[in-house]
Amino acid sequence: MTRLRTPKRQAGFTLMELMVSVAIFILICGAIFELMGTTQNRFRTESQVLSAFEGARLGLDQIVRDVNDSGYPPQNHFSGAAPLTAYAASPIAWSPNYAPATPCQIGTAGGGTCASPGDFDLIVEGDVDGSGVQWIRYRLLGTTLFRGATLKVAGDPVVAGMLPYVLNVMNNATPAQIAQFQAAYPAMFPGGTPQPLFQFTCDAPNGPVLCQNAGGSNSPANVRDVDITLIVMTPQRDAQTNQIHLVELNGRGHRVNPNK
Amino acid sequence: MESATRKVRKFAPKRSEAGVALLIAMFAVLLISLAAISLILSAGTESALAGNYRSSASAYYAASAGLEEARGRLLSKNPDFFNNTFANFIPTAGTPLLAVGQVRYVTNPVAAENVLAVYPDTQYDTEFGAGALAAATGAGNVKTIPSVSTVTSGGTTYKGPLFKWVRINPATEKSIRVDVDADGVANNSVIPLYYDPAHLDAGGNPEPSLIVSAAPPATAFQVFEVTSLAVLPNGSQKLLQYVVTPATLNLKFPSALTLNSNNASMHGGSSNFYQINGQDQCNAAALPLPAIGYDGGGATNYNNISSSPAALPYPNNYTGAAPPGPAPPTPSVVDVAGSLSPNLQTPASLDALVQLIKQNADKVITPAVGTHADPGDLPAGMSPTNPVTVVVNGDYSQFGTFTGYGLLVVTGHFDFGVSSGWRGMVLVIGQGTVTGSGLGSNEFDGVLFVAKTRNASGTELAALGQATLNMSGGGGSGINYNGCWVNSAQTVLNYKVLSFREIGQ
Repeated sequence: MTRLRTPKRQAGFTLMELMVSVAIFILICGAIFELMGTTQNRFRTESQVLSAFEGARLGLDQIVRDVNDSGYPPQNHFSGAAPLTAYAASPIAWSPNYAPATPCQIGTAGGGTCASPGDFDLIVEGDVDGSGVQWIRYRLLGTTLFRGATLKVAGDPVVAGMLPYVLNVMNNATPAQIAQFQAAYPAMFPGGTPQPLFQFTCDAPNGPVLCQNAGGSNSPANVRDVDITLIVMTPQRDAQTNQIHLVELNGRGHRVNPNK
Repeated sequence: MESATRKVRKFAPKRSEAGVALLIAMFAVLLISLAAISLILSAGTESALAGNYRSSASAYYAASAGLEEARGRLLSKNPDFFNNTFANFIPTAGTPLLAVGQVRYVTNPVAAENVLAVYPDTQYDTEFGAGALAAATGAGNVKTIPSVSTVTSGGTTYKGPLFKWVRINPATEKSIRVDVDADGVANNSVIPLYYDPAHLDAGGNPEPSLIVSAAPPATAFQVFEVTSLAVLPNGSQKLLQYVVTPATLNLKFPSALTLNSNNASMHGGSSNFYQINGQDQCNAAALPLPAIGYDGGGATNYNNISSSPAALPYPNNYTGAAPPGPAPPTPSVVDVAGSLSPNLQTPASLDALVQLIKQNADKVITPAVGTHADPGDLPAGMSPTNPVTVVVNGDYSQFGTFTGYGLLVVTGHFDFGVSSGWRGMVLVIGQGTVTGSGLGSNEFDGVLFVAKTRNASGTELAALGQATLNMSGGGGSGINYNGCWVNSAQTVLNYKVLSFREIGQ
């Protein structure tokens, strides 16, 4: 029992022991926090890429769906003199001169005579949800893709009240930005030029071809497929590398309804 | 107690050190776990996103696959034609073919599930009124047939797309929610819709369209509504709908007999019973066509048929649209160059037409060199209600008492005895020579079209050569234009999609 009370045996660690263990502890903690910091940064970047990806995907899915469903009901469903607003005159509407129907030529990189459809503009026409024939427009202004829908009226398609739909769309970025992107993503901007958001394939006598190469068949009324290329940038740069992250998504809408 | 205290004392320093190590280890594990969880979470969100997008697109394509299966199997030349395995599944005769209230399903169950019970078709009642499907079922008007999308080959089963069922039924104004006759409301749920390729708008201009008519014209075809439901294992659904109608060759001819060249060689029957009549025998009110049409190439005064006394022994037997100018109304021999449809104008377009018919024919017969095909080679089952499409890639001889029905294309020489005849269309495109002989009183009801597009060795000509029709002897009863036989012989190429929509659920 007397031995239990011996104070010498109850002493904790020597100073040296304590210092060594604290030093080791600090070293391990430092390493762990360093790793944690990297992981945090990585996570922040990845979740940004992910949310850009998600936004682009939802947008792309909706565009594909709108193109697929466009053109209902077609004019061939009416034997009587139906009002112009009762049917879809063309699954892909156009301006100018939509009514009376004088088709324009679809061009790319500023060519053609259509104001819409074009590289960054698309108007589909159809009754997609049973609420009447609508014009649904997608238009890229700057780096924001806008979407809007209004009931069809006589005349050229006008879609009021368009709302931002997908942000940070870089298809039509400035030359300086494109040069920057090219360094990180050489394949995304071939030729260093803006990449069309919409590319149109027209029905032609010898099979479908890109509308701008379709000669006499180049008309919005002949559009069969719409290829969509959506390039979206993350809102912030990578916290670690200070790099810009881009996400490119591709889709194809195929209109099934006849154009008359 | 003492022994325990002794034990404590003995191991006390070691225990303190072990505790610190444990704490440090636990702390480290906690930190690493946090990092791992955050990584797992981000990966999980990504795969969920990918999953959502993929399932929406998959359901869309699965439902489209169902629509396409049904559309393809409506076609009688498809080996999987519905009626091949289920007699009269889609009736091929009658007006309408399918009455409102008749419902057909193609089912595509996984294992032994009863798809119509598990995935009930609520859309039908939306289209035809509450209780409509139950009423159709009670009346025995619902028929189902299994899908052919899952195939077994060499002992392996290849699963098809994941659509559940496809419904085929007559379309009405109300069911497709379209005010077809523009009377202000899309309310007709009684009269099945037809598609009339010959429909004219109020100004008299061609405007093929759907029509609401209890007595549709002979040119119209009933349209069917094809609706497909796809449900993926994760629950995503799509309901898509087509409105389809048969698309035919829609061949139009300018005259009862067309000899498609400007120096045609014609020798009519020498009997007074031999006649060619451009008046539609099926529609007395129709404007008559010329009895004989030729291609004068714009030189309207050039007519070597009626100017040759030997060509038409009984000129008054060639009746129909009168030739222009002061010429007497008979013989009705008219330059039809201006009214030939584009696919009948040049050797290239005519040969392309023959190719198109060949691809869609019930039978293509290629007789051995030096021989010819005969009626014995034609498809069995040919009848007035089952007209056939036959292409003879060579010579064809038709003798004996025989009548054919449908569309006959002969690329070589067509030789017939006048106790045989044809109801429908006979196109002799290629060598462009026809001879008739013997005794008999059969006739051609419909049209006979002759064009020489190839030389004797089979090379395509740059311009049409001389078309020849040579009757030796009496000539039988001749040729009578008949719009009904022409219509019945128009080959169905496919079922055309008139419209497509996605039905929100």
